[in-house]
Amino acid sequence: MQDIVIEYGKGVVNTEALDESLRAALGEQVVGITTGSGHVTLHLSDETPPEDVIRARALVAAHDPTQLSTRQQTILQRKQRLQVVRRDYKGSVDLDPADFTGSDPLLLALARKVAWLEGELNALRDGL
Amino acid sequence: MTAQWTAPVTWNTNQLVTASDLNQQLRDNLEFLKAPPSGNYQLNQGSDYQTTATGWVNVDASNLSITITTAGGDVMVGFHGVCAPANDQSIFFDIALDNVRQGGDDGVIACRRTSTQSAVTFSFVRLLTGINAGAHSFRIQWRVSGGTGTLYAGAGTTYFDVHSQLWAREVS
Repeated sequence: MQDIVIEYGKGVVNTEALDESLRAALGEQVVGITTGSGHVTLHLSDETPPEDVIRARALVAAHDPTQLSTRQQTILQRKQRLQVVRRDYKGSVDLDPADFTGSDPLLLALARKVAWLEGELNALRDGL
Repeated sequence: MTAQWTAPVTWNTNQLVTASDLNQQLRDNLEFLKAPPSGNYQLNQGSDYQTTATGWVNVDASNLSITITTAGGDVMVGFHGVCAPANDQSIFFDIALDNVRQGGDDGVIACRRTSTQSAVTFSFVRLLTGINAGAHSFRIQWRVSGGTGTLYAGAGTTYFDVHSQLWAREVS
């Protein structure tokens, strides 16, 4: 493995996104990257040809930390969807299975289970 | 300048003890024991460290490394910090003596994150033996099981502006 140490004076590095773009361009030649202390270190396989090292350096130079990785985009979308749902249900009363007494037994069981899950989620969010 | 260690001599009856003998056997050796070869590095970086490497790599290419000149004794090494593995992933740390990892396998300490944690506090102290007299480097290496791992480095991150320290001292 060869370590290519690159001085990085642009501030924040989105390590995950930069790693993803490097792997997309260079494939399994990329062992990983390490960032911090004003440097980006590329860990590349010994078989990486010089032209690919040049490509990797160019990707680091062009790195935009605001561009998210695929996983980061997925998480952001989930957060945004959750915010919408929370806004829609804010202020609504908790589900009360008693309201379903006399309903179809399956519906009552479902109401009890949803109420239980709601309680578990609230406990998780509150760190209980 | 650190005093040099000289193996104690066995004194004989009627042996003439010179100033040179006393300076070497008492003064220099006591000064050596008072201030043994030692070094430390405290993290106070501009940004935290992160890695995606699943193979062992240096945490820092130039910092987080100590070089001391030993007299052939054992060396005690310590490191502590706070790290954040990716969810359900691990960060492994090891100490490299002259670029040779000492822990083997998964290193000397592992930090694993579950979905209810955000960071893991860790520390280790390790005694390294069988080291020849001379200059030696002690460096922290790490790897992750997957995802992106973070080592907080006193870089101003909210709640995690903590300053890890690596140290090494000859102890025998």
